Amino acid sequence: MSKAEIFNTICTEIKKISENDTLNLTPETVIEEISDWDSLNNVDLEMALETECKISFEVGEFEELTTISQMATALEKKVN
Amino acid sequence: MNLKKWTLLYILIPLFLLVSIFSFNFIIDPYSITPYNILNIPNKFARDDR
Amino acid sequence: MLFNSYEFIFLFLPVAFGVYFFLNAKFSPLSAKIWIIFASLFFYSWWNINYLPLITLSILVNFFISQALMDKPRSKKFYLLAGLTFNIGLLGYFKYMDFFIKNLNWGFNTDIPLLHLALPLAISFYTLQQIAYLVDSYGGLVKERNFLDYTLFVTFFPQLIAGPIVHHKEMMPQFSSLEAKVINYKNIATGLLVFSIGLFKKVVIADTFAKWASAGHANTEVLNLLEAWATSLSYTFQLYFDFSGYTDMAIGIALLFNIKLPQNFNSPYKSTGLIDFWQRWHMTLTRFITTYIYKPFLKSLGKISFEKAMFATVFTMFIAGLWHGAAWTFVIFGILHGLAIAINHYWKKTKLKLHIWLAWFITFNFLNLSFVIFRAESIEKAINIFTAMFTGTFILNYRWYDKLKFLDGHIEFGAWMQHVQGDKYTLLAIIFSFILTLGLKINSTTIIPILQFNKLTLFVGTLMLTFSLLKLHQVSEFLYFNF
Repeated sequence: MSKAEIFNTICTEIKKISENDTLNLTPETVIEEISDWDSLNNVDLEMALETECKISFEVGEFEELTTISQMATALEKKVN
Repeated sequence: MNLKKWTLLYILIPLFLLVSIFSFNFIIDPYSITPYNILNIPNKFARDDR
Repeated sequence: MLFNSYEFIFLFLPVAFGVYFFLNAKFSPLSAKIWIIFASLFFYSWWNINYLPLITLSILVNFFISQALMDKPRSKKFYLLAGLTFNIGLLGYFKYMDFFIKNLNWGFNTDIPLLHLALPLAISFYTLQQIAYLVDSYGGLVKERNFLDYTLFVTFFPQLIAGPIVHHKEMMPQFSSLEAKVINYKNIATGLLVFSIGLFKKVVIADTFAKWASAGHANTEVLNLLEAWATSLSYTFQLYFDFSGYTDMAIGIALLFNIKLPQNFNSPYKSTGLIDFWQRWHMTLTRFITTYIYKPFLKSLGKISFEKAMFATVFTMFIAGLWHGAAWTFVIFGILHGLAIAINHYWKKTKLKLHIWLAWFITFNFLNLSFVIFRAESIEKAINIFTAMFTGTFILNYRWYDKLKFLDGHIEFGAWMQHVQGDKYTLLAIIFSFILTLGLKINSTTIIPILQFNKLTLFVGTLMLTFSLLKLHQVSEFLYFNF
């Protein structure tokens, strides 16, 4: 997967989870600052990404990633 | 005001106030806890409603 | 040593601070680091030196297990299990053994004697912090492996006793960096101001409420309706001002040493829902239980579903409740909060919107009621207070009789606040606290980046500090020391 593909995957999943297609997401978006985002959404996202990209996160690893671009970089490393 | 001066004042003002208040209490003490009562406040007056 | 004591403020803190920067400037950062570890352990031992060996053992065992785990990845599962067993065993033995025996005795009619162990100070806090390090070393997320930095991360005295529950990845790099080694007046000025705010919250506000809350909780059988509400609201405000005041003091003291502790409160009583509340209240505890309990537990249940997530939420809050103390009141408190969070999630799914004031009203009243259980000495006493809150006699101050004569015959006049040792100032303090917790746009954390060091802040800060220092005559302990 290329970085752009990964970025798109993350955005799609976030929109799916927050049930909001109109979100304006950029690489600099801080996940926790998305309106109405909570810890349940965060687990949903973590697990959705694990299934989509066929990887797994260690305990505490996902919490270190605060922005979409950090998430994409971490995923890119894991996928390839 | 520069930060260093601000910080020093911040530490010195409470110290000064505390020392003044406690020593003031000590020397005018109308409750006869210390041997001083320099303003000669009568005991009865100070303890009136206790 | 308490933060709000003369020996801490006038002796320990100046000496710890002075020697730290003196050693940094004249000798080496290493000697300064060892000094601050020594000072922290001294601070810890001030209460009871008997528990010094326990915290030392905990640090040594945890550090060596984590290092072994990282050095021998092939047997890392074994080390993780050994480490978790050690930590949970230690906490279980010292904190929960008597509770367990009591319930065993009750359930099976046995008569096993209790151990009557005094809870080692801060054990709940330093155990959690070390579990995080251990689990992270298992996940390959640990970068810092210096023993002194590790020891300092666990023992650093501002956060040692009652949090914030710090994470190694935010602390250890700060201890190893050189930036922390030179005096920084901006940090000192900010630290002093934040410390003063915390001290004021603690000794002026929380301790005032403490008197009424304790009296009310000691006389639960005889409270009238207004007294019962005064009791519960007093405790609700006492708990917040006590704990957030403590956190402010910790953050302020750490700043003197150029160390940034994480934020722990974000105006929690403004919350408009329970999910919102736990993102604003004891935030570092929420962070820990979400990362290290809730998520792993939920993932272990297999494919995620809403029902499973809600089950995991209630389970996690049950553990969080129990973490606060070994008693059924804490268990009930945790489960109630878990259920309330689950209801909040369910409500969110329906996409219905409550009016913001109604949402706040429901949330605040839930919190106020749940804190009755949290504080009560037993479930029966909590029920007494609830009964009085909703079915107690409504008695107004007899001094108001002349002005409110027209109510005679409908409302009783008499001793209206006697059992909480309160008076009209109880009412005023409650109103004042509502204004403080709801009416201000800023709080002690959001104020930090916009602080101006001018005559106004100097005046307000020194006023709060002096006033608090004068009130220090009657020193009281922080609530969270017991958890």
